Amino acid sequence: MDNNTHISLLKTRDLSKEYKVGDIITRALGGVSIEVHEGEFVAIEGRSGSGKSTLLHMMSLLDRPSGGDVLVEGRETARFSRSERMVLRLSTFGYVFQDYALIPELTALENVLLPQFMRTGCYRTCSGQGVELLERVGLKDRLHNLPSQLSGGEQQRVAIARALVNDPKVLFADEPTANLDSDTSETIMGIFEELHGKGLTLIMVTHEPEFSARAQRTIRLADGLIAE
Amino acid sequence: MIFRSMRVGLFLMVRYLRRANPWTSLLIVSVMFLTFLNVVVVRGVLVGLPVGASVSYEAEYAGSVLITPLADRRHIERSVYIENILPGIAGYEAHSARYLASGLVRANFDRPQRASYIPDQVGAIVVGIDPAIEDSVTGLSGLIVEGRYLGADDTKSILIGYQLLDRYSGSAPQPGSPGTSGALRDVYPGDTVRLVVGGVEGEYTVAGIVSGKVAQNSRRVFMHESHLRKVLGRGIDNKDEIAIVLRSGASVDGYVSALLASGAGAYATVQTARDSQGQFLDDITSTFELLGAGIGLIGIVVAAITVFIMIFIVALNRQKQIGILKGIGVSTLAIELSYVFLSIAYAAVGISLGVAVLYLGIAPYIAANPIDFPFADGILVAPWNDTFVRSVFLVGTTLLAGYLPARMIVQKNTINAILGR
Ligand SMILES: Nc1ncnc2c1ncn2[C@@H]1O[C@H](COP(=O)(O)OP(=O)(O)OP(=O)(O)O)[C@@H](O)[C@H]1O
Ligand SMILES: [Mg+2]
Repeated sequence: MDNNTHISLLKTRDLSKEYKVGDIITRALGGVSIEVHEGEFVAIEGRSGSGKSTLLHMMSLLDRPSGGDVLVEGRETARFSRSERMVLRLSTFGYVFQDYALIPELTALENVLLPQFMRTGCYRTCSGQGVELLERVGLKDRLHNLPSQLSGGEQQRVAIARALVNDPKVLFADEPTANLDSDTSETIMGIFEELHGKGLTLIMVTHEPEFSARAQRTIRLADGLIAE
Repeated sequence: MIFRSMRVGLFLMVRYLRRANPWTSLLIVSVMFLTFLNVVVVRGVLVGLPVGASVSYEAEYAGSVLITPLADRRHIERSVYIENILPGIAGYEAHSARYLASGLVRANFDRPQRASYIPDQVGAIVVGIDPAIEDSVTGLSGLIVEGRYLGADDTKSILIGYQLLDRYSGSAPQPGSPGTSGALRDVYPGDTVRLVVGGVEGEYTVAGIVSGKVAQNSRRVFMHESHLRKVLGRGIDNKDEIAIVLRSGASVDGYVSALLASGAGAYATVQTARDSQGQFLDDITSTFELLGAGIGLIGIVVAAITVFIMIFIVALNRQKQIGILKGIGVSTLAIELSYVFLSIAYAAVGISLGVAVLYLGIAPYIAANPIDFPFADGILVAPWNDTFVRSVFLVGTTLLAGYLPARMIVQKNTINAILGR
């Protein structure tokens, strides 16, 4: 595909991240520059410890890099304040964690609606969107279940619905199927492909070659660097 | 944004509460409840002691207004004139005018003669009263703990203050001691004692023993005023003490001013009962007030620390969820507020329980059964406005104690919190 017909939605510029534990400095990312265009489905692959999660955390503004920058729709985020990053994350990004990361005191629907409530201040009258999303991931009958009353696959689908509630431009997912059996993983992948089909930009970390093959493009990481 | 964060914080707090461990909630609410009682009731009881003493002083002795001789006079002058104008002043209900004289009570003089015979004796203030009137003013008959009150023609009977008797005062005199302090042994209603007053020694029957909370009454001997006047050879115009009871709600200061305006100040010292007690009770009250404040402060600090630890543990256990909330874009303010609201909710429930127990249970109970102290019927001083101020203070402290640990944990790196690193 011709890059010029796409807007550069997300771009990293020489992104690096170092962790310091005692005297030992681990270079998790060693200068990564990638570009993701609107509507793309990108898979990130690599051995364990290669820096995949770290890259995703930096790109989604969950954590700050040690060097380099992340550009969101052309805007440099390095100097963003904490609340600016929060607002950007809230309105532009959705994030699906490997271990679902639902709030245990909130029902499925409440979990899904929370980011929308935070962004718009609208809760009860805007609950239709959340119900619709949960129906879309096949959880019509589980709206009022607590996370502890849901299976792993169901929890992950709630997490996906939550990530979508603010109509994000980018959906990040860090090994979303790692804890699930193959049938359930297939359901999740099906949802992702459907979302991609509707134009959502997807960036997914995965171990499984079978799943990365279904993405449009695969970025391979080795020791914190892009490997070709 | 701030308003939205408050709403989200409230939303989260309600869910935390709804799904919290009931035992944890019960524990925190109990701490708040007990702190409230500590801060309000302990101080209320402490301050209630001197206030109760004041109440007893007025009820059992002075009335609302007390008239005594001028500083350089032995007796109230023109007391009949003063007594005549008392009922004409607004607020008057009753008064008792008394004669006072110093005297000596001797007992046990009819025992078998000892080698050097001197009967037990104590000094006392002999008070001449009209028994019926005195009873209507100070309820003296209700203070009789042994025997009976003086009858209308009981001129040969007396009442003895309980502190003059060793079984109440606990200080027995040396046998045959000639001193005038100490106390009498083995004097019971029906016994005969000798009373020396105005140089005249006479025999009287002990009708009853007077008790009560007021020191003034406890070392007095009461008898018929007509008889005492006769013994002393005093005129009707030379009373020594007038206690005036006002109708409830009447202005005591107003009554005193009106009385002074009528010229009574030239013949006697006219004071409110409160002023007549002097600085002493005011000093005790402020001392106890300080003591109550100190104890309350310690209680508040303990509660603050408890809430701090509770919220710290709750938030620490929920580090991951806090990280997730931040991760999905919930503002740190909203998260902090959810814990602040949580601690305020606990405080509000605890304080409400405390207020209910205080005003529906403890206050009416103590009002009906005053705490029995030797010098006072301890009452509970807990006015609404004072309780309100203390509650607000308690809530404010709780707010801070909830905010600090929440903030400490919310400050943690988001991704580390989520991954539990
Ligand atoms: N908080 C941290 N402190 C120290 N070192 C860290 C920290 N987080 C990650 N690392 C190190 O950085 C490197 C990259 O970690 P990262 O989690 O990005 O790997 P990954 O590719 O996601 O691996 P996996 O497939 O196992 O999830 C690893 O060597 C890891 O040990
Ligand atoms: Mg990883």
